[in-house]
Amino acid sequence: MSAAAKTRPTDLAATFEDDRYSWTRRRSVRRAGVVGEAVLVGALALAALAAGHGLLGSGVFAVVWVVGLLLFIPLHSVVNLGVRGLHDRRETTLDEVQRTQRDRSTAATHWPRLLLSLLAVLVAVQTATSTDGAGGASGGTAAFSVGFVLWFASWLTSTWHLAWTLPEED
Amino acid sequence: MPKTDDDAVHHRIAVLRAERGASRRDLAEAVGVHPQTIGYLERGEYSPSLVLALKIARYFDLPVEAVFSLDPLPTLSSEVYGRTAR
Repeated sequence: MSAAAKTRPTDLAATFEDDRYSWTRRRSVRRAGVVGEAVLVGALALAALAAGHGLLGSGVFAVVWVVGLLLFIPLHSVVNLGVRGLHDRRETTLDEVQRTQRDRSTAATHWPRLLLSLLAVLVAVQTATSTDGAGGASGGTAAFSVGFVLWFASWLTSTWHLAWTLPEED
Repeated sequence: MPKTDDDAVHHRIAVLRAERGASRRDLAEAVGVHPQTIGYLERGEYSPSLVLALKIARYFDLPVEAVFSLDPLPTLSSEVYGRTAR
């Protein structure tokens, strides 16, 4: 008997296997979720860049980010339920096919994740060492926000790949 | 998913399951995998590990070569009655 069968599913794994959320596992829903998250992350980055160039007031920028991050919570829940939370569950609750699917997505997105992470670090270093005061405090906040979005996107990439490529269930 | 046709593992899982009246869930629980995994195997979207193949063969109480093969398996009609598909 495999480890998956020997181990009692955790509450998290049980939630991801709950049939009430089977609608999230349809390919069309998964892909729509990925597009929605990508648009949202892009919008957050654009808002940060606009704020950095003085095109967006700090109050509006804050509102856009709070609303965007609040919207992200249900959106990512749908995407994560759609992929049965393969990146978040304990190894012992996954069978060999699920591990293969997860590992394939992790491997396929290695370079994009690395690139996004490096860009995030570069932006962070740039922000930390910037002394010319371009944009003042709001410029620093905007640069920090862009770095955060890049890091955030690097964290999401493998889940997006998984949600996009998983075969249709039956 | 098999990379090429040469990597494909042919099997009789669906036929044997129908013959025994076992659902995908029954088989999945018996061999310790997700029911969806049985679907992936039956549709040829995944080739099982040796351990999983042996467990499935044991579930059907058959030698592994009766369930899985690297070559296309003959149909039941040709195997039992020596008739080929039209």
